[in-house]
Amino acid sequence: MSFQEKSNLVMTVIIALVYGAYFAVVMPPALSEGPSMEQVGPYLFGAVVFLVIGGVVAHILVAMAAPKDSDEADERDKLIEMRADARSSYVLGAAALLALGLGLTEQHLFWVVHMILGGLVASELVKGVLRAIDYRMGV
Amino acid sequence: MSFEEKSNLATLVIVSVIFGGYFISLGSQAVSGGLPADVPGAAFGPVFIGLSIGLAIWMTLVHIILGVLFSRDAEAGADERDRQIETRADAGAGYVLGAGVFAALFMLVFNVSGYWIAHALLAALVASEVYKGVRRAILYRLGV
Repeated sequence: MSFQEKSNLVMTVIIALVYGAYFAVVMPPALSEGPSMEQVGPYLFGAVVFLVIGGVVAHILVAMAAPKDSDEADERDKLIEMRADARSSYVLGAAALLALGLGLTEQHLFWVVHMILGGLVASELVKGVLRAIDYRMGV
Repeated sequence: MSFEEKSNLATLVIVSVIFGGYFISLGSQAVSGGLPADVPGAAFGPVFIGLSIGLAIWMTLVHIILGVLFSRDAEAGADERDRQIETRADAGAGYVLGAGVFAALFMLVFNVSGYWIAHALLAALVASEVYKGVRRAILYRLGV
């Protein structure tokens, strides 16, 4: 397993855990008590901090576990990344259209922000899963 | 020139003319003070629907004309080169869209109205489509 494949798996899991936890904490009160941007500020900041720290620590551990693996992407890595980028951009495009619709219908800022954030997270997860599949099944 | 390349060029021109024209007129309105900062998002609804219908009509018309004029090319469908070019262009366009979406998210910090957020998101989508069209046109001419 190449360094790029390990890095992809690690980041996909970290994004799923961090933003899965974020949405699990933030969405129930918004649905039951009504949306509020003031309440989600610290969670939003915390999710970014956890994502950065988790990503750095996980990459250090991956590099220490297999120091001989090159961290430079080869032609196959680049092709797999390009294919996944191309497909995941459709997920982000769909989310941007939905957020545009929320903006047009004057929905609360909370829902617009979380539609955009959800789209960014979903497109990253789709990209990670597609890359993982391409690495295992071949391109 | 393959049907896919002609279709890409036609799409690029239509998207640029329709949305470029719209954003230029919006910009001149905003500069002349014709648009207050707190325009309600709902004001953009009919305009957005009009733009979408106009885009759909022009795309359909032009592709019917291309299909009639170049029926052999159209029947051949996309080949491996077309697919590779599309994947490369889509991948780059995804980053343009991502940057635009982040910019829209950043605008929310300044508490701007839904009208301007919707325009920022539309601009991101249009920019990514234009990037994709230009990239595909370049790859078709210069090779992959």
